[in-house]
Amino acid sequence: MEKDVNRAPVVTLTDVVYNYREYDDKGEEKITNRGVNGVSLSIYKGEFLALVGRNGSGKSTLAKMLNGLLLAQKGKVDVYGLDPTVEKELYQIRARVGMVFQNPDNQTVASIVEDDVAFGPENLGIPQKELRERVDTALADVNMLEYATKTPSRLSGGQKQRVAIAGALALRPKILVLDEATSMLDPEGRRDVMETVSKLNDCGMTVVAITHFMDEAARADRVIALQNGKIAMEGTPAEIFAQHEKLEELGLKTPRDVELALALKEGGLDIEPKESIFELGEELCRLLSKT
Amino acid sequence: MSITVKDLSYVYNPKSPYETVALDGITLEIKTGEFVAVCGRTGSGKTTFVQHLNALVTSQSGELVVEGLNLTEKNKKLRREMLKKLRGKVGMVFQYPEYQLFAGTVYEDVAFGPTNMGLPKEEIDDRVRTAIKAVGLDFERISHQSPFEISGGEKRRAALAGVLAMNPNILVLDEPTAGLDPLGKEEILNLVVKLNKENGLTVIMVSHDVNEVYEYTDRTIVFSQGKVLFNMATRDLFTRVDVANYGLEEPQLAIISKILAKNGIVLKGENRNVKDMAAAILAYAKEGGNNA
Amino acid sequence: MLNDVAFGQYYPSDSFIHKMDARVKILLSIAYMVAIFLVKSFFCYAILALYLLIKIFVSKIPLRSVLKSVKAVLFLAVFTAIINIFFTKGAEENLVWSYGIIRIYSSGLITAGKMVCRLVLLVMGASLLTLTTTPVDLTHGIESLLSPLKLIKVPVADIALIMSITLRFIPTLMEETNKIICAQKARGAQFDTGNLVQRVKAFVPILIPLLVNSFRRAEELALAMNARCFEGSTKRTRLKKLKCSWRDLVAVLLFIIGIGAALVVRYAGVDWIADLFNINVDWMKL
Repeated sequence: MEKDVNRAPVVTLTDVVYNYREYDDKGEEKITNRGVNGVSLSIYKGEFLALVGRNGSGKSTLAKMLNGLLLAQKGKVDVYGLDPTVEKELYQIRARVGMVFQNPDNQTVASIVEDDVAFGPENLGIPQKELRERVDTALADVNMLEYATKTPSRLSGGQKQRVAIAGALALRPKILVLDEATSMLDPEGRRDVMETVSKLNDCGMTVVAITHFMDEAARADRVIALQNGKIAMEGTPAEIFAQHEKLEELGLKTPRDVELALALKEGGLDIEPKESIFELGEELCRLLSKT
Repeated sequence: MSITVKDLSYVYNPKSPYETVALDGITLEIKTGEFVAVCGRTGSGKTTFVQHLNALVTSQSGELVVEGLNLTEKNKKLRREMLKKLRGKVGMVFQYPEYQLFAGTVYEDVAFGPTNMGLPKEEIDDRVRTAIKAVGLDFERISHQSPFEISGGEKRRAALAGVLAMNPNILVLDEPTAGLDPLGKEEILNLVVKLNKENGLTVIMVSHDVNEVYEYTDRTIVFSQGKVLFNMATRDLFTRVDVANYGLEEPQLAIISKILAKNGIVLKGENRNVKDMAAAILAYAKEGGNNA
Repeated sequence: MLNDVAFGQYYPSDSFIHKMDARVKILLSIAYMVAIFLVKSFFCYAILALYLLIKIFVSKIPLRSVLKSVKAVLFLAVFTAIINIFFTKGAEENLVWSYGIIRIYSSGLITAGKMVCRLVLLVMGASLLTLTTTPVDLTHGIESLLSPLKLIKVPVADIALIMSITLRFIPTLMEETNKIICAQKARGAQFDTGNLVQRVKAFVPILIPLLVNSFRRAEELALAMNARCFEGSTKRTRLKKLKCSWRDLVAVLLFIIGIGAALVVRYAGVDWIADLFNINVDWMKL
């Protein structure tokens, strides 16, 4: 199914820079080149954008600039026409850009699931009756309504992350940013979370996912690979994965099925990378039975 | 036999509303020099099981013998002696081991284990150097840095070195690649393979990543609800059993092998990594017609 | 996975007491504790104990779980009892036993007995509150009870938020502590041998990672809270409001009967019972 990706950008970054500071032995401040070193990009309404890159490539820093958790030291960030450097607009941006972090344990504030989900809208001063409705809708959206009165510490990792997504959804955001939200989960939890995110994306939510997992990036409409705080590659998953060697240079790995297809092609077989491993298998059967 | 387990059971919070059966009659054996994967869902009992191997949980019922030591020893004095020997035989690398670093320098942190073993100074120094080099860190550069100031990947290696410095015969790793980027994962796995193949360590690795399990390990033990569900050669498990029915993912290359086999195309070799698989397919494409 | 069910941890159930308004439970618990200190005789303690036992029965919590909390203060109880037994001086005719300079008087035994009664009743009562009330309700109740302090600019909402986050992180940090202890044990660390200095030193490899990790967690939590539009507690609304119901009224009535009886005995004495029923009441005065 072709998604309706509107080519009007909802977020525009222009030459943004954010470098971390470091203190040397004498306590003097030094600006390092870690972080983001001049990135320009647009995020379009309804798209699923994956940001990939090695640890320290600047992808998490970039994500935190999308909702003003970090403010650009140089360049400009524009989110729905709002400017994060204006304090009043900052909170409007955060309500529009929901964010889910890596460690599920470090983003839960309450000991009961529904209280935790309510935290965001409570901060916005939403009246009690609407709060209830927002919490219930958000939990239903991530399929966790039956756990509303449970304790997060007794949930599985995948369930905890779905609660965290609900916590972001309760703000009624337009964009959902996942900052390595699946990296601490088991395969079941990852699948759960990715399915939830895909479903939200299908319903029109703009999604930005920062990830190490190439199979997650493969689900995206567009992939951006970062290296040393700069954009190194950009394109559809197929375009990116086809550049096998360049990816490896960036410290990333092509999914095994794509790698296999490319190796076979190089070896003289008439084969191209496929959408799924099963299609590749079938194609191989066809090719090999012919010979 | 490196490890012998017979009818091992364990219950958390017995007789409380939070009572959970973690292990329910586990029986298995692990041979010296094997590279064994331990799989299963969260809460399947696999972590409790590997913690038994280092007597970090006191066994409740059943038998457990590791490197000739009886871990179910009840006599206090004998148990203390057994534990002392055991710590030097089984090295345990926990999940996210970098969060357990504590000392002022990487050197001191790695020396913690050998120091606790009461070894002489020269021997400790020797072991620390060997261990730091074995995990691929630059001794001169890193040994005198604070373990909190080095990069994430380096921290994990430093933590691993801290375990290796105890010269264990058995290395137990609980999701050693969790949270690392793809290249970081590969580096750690290659390191573990080297320790297994070249240094002869018995390796037991808990992992959720079936692709890495398929590619690197000899045998896979699958836990489910406190029981051993499967215990067989890794390749056989993933190519002959429909693991998807048991909540496990299928390794990508196993899927290819299975599809090809179903269509009567049998490749030579195990083909557990992309390179081997590609070579086997190309070889088949050249000669396959003749065979068929 | 937690290895031990912690002292006073919430015990899930749907009993009458679990469903009560947290504020009423807190106030009644405080009143009960005050009563423990007001009354002086064993007979009164017995009345309070009966009241407590009824409460435990109604709460559907196994007596064993409540008694677990007593285990935590056992040392303190034994220690104060011993001090009282050996160091209370009484009249010579009350001397029960003596050996050398050690003299034990019956008054000492009675004081010690009362001390232990008080401590046990106190701890069991307090743990019954935490066993039947979720941390969230507890902080909520405290916040609500303290809300008049807002008038004198006490940041009650912030304090309540800090408390609930603290409670929320207790299981997480306990799990983490367990993990670190395991990891250092696996590297041969010993926590139960050596002299005092060695034992204290043995905890450094646990405390430092725990501290470092807690800072990291705090930093991440702050980010997550900011991402969810947190800007101080003043403007926040709340999902839940505490409500009093008929249950609370019944509980208050029961409380008045139970504690009232004890207080009547304490302040009006027991002689009227003797007059009324014509029985000997001296044992009640002990």
